[in-house]
Amino acid sequence: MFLDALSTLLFVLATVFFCAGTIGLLRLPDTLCRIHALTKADNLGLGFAALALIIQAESLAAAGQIILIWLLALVASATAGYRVARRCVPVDPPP
Amino acid sequence: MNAVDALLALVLLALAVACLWAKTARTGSLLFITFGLLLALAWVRLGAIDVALAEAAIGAGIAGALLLDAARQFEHSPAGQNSARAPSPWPPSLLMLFLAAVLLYALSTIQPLAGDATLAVSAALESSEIAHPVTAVLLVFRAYDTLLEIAVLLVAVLAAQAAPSAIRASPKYDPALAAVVGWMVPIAVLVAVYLLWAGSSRTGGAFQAAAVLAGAILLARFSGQWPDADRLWQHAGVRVFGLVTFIVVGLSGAFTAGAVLGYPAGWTGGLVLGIEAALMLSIAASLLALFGWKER
Repeated sequence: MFLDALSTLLFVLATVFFCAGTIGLLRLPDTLCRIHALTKADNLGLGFAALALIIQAESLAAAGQIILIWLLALVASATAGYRVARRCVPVDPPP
Repeated sequence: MNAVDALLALVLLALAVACLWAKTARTGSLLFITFGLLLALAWVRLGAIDVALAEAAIGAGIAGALLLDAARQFEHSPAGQNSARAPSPWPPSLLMLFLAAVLLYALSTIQPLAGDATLAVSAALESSEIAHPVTAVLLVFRAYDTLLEIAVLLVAVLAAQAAPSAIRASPKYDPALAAVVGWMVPIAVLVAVYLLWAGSSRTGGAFQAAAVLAGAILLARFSGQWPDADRLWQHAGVRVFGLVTFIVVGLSGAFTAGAVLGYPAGWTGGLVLGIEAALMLSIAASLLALFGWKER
């Protein structure tokens, strides 16, 4: 019962961050700002959703898989964000 | 059907309309990818996890990448830069409405035999030596259909290859991308092999595994990694390997099991896994061939 309530709370938090990320994507002025909103807020939201699911996981292995998925999503979105950002910067930054 | 399903259906319809009426090819492609991902979710809600996986991997993933690639090439082509206005969305919309009407009519005439078919499959599952009903249907009960499907795929790839492929610059080396791809690709290959292996007992199979594998190879290609392995994948032999394996095993069934496409008792599991492994390699190579890669 307590765990269910905790999961619900975490899911609500996840939704708040996803909404913030989406509003950022729609409202922020340029591409770099939008990447910032997407990669930060959405990953945090995904983290909260993963936490909510881990609490409900049936086994340690299932919980581990959810953590692995979250980590993979983090790396993928960080890399994708970096690649999009590189396209926006016209010249190579000084070393 | 609850509120979530109703919302999902409405969003799917809205996305489909938005996709058809998109101003640019790029927007349309992105909406199509979103549509594919939500459609996969709809398949999950219907309990068809196998279809959902295939939709997400092939419908949204590979097809999405193909569309985005085509949209980008069109934007850079003389025809794309000269066309000031997008073509009218009415003809495709009307065509789709007509198709939807035909489908709805066809649906209304189908006799409800789904329950009987499910019962028949689960009754025969014991004798098929395959634990997962979807795999049993695809490679034991209806192996003939799957064999023809693979042949059709090969013909489609041949037709696609008749079109001249765009010549592209080789990708620029990016240390950050190379580092991430360097350990992302092995994980993706592992997932593909797992999906293939899982197909014998639960959700998974050659098509889903092939889509993930093709994605991994594309990732490596776009980051300029392992060019030698990439060249190996473009060999025509890899594309026909699956069909040839399927035909050879199917024909040898005539001698070992008394029927073409039959499997000798006790060998079904191993042979099906072997065919699926060969199919995975060939389907992945065929999906890659659709990208028409040619380095400058």
